[in-house]
Amino acid sequence: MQICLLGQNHKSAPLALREQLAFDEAKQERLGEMLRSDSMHREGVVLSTCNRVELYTLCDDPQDSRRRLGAYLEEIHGVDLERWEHALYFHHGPTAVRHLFHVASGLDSMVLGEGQILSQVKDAFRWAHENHLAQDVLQRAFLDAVGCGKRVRSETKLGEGAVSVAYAAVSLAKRIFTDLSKETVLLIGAGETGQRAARHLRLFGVEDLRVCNRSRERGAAVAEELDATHVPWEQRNLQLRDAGIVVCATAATEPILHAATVRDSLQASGRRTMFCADLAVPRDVEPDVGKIPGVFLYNVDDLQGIVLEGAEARRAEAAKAERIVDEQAERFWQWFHARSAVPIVSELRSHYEQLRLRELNDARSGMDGASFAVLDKVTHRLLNKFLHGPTLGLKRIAAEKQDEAGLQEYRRLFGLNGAQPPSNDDASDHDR
Amino acid sequence: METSYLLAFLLAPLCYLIAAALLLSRLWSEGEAVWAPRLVVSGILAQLVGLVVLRSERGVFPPASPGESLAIMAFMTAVLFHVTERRDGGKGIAVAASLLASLFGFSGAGLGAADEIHPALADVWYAPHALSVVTAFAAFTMSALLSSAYVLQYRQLRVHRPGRLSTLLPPLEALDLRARRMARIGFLSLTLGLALGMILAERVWGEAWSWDPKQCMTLLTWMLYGAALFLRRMRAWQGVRMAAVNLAAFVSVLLGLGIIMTLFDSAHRFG
Repeated sequence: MQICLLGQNHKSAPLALREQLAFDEAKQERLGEMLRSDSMHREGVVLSTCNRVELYTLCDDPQDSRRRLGAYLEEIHGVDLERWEHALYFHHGPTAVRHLFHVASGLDSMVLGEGQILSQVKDAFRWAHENHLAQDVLQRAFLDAVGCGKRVRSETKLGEGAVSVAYAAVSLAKRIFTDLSKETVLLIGAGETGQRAARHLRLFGVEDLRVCNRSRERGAAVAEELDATHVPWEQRNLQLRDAGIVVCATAATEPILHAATVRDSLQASGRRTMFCADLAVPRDVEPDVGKIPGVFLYNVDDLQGIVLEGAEARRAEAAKAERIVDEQAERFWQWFHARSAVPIVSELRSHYEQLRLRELNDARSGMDGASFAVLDKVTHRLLNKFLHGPTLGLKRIAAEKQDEAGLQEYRRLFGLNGAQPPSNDDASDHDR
Repeated sequence: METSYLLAFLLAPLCYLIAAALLLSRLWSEGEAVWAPRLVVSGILAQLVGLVVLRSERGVFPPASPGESLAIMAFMTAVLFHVTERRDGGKGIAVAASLLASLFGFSGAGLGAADEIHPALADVWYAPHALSVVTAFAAFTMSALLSSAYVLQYRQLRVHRPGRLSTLLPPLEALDLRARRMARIGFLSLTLGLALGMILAERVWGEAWSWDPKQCMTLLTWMLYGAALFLRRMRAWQGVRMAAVNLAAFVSVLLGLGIIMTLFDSAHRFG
């Protein structure tokens, strides 16, 4: 029995293939049905994000599984995978598990250490579990992978630092203001970069968001999309009086925000602190704005510098994260191999339990009910104590040595080779 | 070794120091130093018990010497930090406050408890007067610590390269607010301390005000903090300008505690 993985990601496949192989809910349902009706695969989880599609399965023959999974993908997505053979990867056994732990820890992400992948791994597992596709080995593998991801986040700084200019702007605002929900944010310009920053600000609790754009229609549309208030272009200087945070991202070729305007706005409002993120190139904000006491002006270069510093720090943390992944993967494999001892443990216990019951029955005739109950209890306890050491030893052999011959030797030693427990007559003969 | 000395002068500062070390060890990692607040509380309790025992042993409330004043400063710094500051976050502030408390505590241990008790200290008005003034100085110290953190955070953000130190400090707005809160607590305590001191002086020396160097320095401190809080309220001074005024006012606290007490002959030099 092996854990297998067939997949493609942002490193191996172009966007065109990633788009074609992406799973929506209907396609995921279809794959689920295929896996359930397939005797080759016992379990299966689909991890589909914008940067990867990976199918994790539990099967007996990895090569057969690879062929079958490829065929499923072709059938569901209508893609000829022969053309894309080089863009797919297939792993089984420890490599597949290590890959999963890597992914959950953010070590395989496009932005090293990004945190969203952990919740995507959780969601993928939850879906498979609810659809009875991950109940045993893959359940444990995914839960351990999530645990590994959490450990990496708490014990290393892999997830720290800004990953984008927009995020850097928001994290700076958080170092200035205690509660972003109480701040008014003025977004000047309705381009993609500005919108991204506004979305981040929303995530951090900003409630009063105002959008101002030269084109009224575009501004109103973006404001509606962001659930924000639309402000006419002419009123932008007036709106500055309320704003603690100003994000500028227009396509203007000349500065639209001047030092005198900002100084006047601060004076009129009585406000002493303002954070201004100028995400535009050419710059929207006059550099002198940054010289006003209490005004923190950051342009694209400043923010990019913070992002690069963060990326460097994250790369330095990757080695620590790798060590955690190794440890966690090793722990999973110990559990996985220890499972092979489970049938022998039950056989061992059942074998000796039968012996105990037989002896107990023989002794029953000369005893009253109370004495028999005591004897039953004592022999049960004794049996548990006798078998405790051998059970642990058996699990250890299975987990550490993964030695099939050793397990068979163990069976022989305890007389478990399918033989019936010896009868009392046999025992008597032996005594004689 | 007496129980009171052991608890108030040694055990408590040791608790604060270990708490600071634990907080420091967790400074760069995600986890919380869960034992640190417990140690601070243990230190506060040890010091409280120690000071009560000291009072019952000699029948006079501490502080009766500079060493005892410093021990109470340590106690009040720990209380102020634990009660008002800890919830507001900022690992750097927590480390600095615990270190300050331990520094005050060990300095107090070095100077020790009073050998002789000045008769003026047996007056009923002495304990409330001394405790109010020491509380004020502890609050001013915390306020100066928060203002220093403000200036540090402000500079980091202004030069466009906020380093890792910046992540250990609370946001600017919170630092400003907390520094003001501490200055206000200090100002109210000092107002009370000065008033009670005048009543005490009237009873002991027959005159409420004697232009004693320590009295004058404390009055100057009171005026400086009063002016700072007035400017803040009336002219809405805040941010880096307010932090600078706050730190300037704190210089008078340092002068009052250090130079004046050691270089000039003062009616306040007991013990």
